Amino acid sequence: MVDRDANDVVKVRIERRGGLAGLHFSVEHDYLSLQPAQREAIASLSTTAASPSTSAGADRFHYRVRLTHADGSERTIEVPEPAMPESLESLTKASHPPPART
Amino acid sequence: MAQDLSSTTHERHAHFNRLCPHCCLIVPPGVLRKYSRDTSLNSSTRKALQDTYLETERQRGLREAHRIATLRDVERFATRKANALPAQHLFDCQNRKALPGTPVLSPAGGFKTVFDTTQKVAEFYKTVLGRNSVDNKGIDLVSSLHYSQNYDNAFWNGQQMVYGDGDGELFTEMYLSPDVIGHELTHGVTQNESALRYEGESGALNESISDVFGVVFNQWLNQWPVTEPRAWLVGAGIIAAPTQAKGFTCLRDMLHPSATHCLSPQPELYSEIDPTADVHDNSGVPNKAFALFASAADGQAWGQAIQVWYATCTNRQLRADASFSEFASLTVASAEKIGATSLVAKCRSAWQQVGVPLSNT
Repeated sequence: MVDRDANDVVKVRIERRGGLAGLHFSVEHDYLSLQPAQREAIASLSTTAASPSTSAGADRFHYRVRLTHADGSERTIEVPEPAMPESLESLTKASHPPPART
Repeated sequence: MAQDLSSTTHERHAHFNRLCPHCCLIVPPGVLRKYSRDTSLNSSTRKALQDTYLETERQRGLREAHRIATLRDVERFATRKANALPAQHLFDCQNRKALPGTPVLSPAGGFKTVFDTTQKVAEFYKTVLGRNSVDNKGIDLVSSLHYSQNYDNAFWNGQQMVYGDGDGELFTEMYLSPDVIGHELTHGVTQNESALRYEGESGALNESISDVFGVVFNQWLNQWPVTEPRAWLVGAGIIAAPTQAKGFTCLRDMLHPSATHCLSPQPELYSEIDPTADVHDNSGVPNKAFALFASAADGQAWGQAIQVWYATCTNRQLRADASFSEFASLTVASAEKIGATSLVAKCRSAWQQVGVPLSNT
């Protein structure tokens, strides 16, 4: 496997799934709009080997980080909650107002 | 890029042991973490290092919990030996993420709520099901509160229960629903019994079993008959006021999984599930099967209905990657052992109503 450099990432989409509630949240950001710590975390994730899809126990959150590169290619990284950098976790926390009832 | 996500912890350890047969158990976590990011190593080696690092941290947390528990006056927390309920240990994470946190020696407020409710869950398992704690050997129960900041979740981490405070918008303190405490503790029971794999249909069964025993515990606690509308709600006590104001009354409704008052509505029929969906999405089908069965079988779900489910969950024939169909068939077999012909018919009918075929196994 050849790891892509995070430098050419233009967009970051983070999905949070699981938890006791099983609710799904997602947030999308332009890479350049992220804080330096968040960019570092993205770079770290993009160079770290794949993590297991699940962590021990049950009802943990699970994250799916999708990186869109300048050439339009995409890479999805599965991140169990214990391995998710807090700087990226906080992006999803700010993005989930109570849903509208349908 | 799709990742190979299928390996179990045991397989990952075995893999890393092959890579590093003499050193993996004594490599400091910081070294594991550092080299898991070393791009000069190949991808599979870094994956093994990363997985080992995560597992090492998990085990470290467990050892720390046990160390702290042995350093303090356990008797202040322990249930008296005479009634043979498991001892409890409470910890305060103080809004950080390090587990288990700081020992709480005099539980008050939320800590007392968790202590008392956990005690009741243990009593439910003991008196209704004849089970002694999550391992049926009386293992101590560990709970940590105030995990992280505004944390909208509760979980079982493989050794203990963990509760967040909620963000006040979506959820309030996650321990305020007794069924949630029963739900998390039941994950420990499942881990010690069938160890249902946490993905696909077996993962949905794992979740459903926690909902079933959590909700029936709540019914037993409140002496609610099966006809009580609140009896089948999951997480009714953790919905924060702003979300209640929008008409949401619970996370899930076992009798009506797709109802609009559910914050997390679910498919009700087997034909409607997405096999790749989250385990919490597809648990609505076996949840409804149990609710229909219990409603038909008894006035109280903690009678024969829960006995049938418990016998199934502790049946050695229940495979870790069991399908809905296999689980359904085992419940029918359990009903045949526990009740009369009519009970078996009610069990079959419940699964038929949610569209789960019985397997031939």
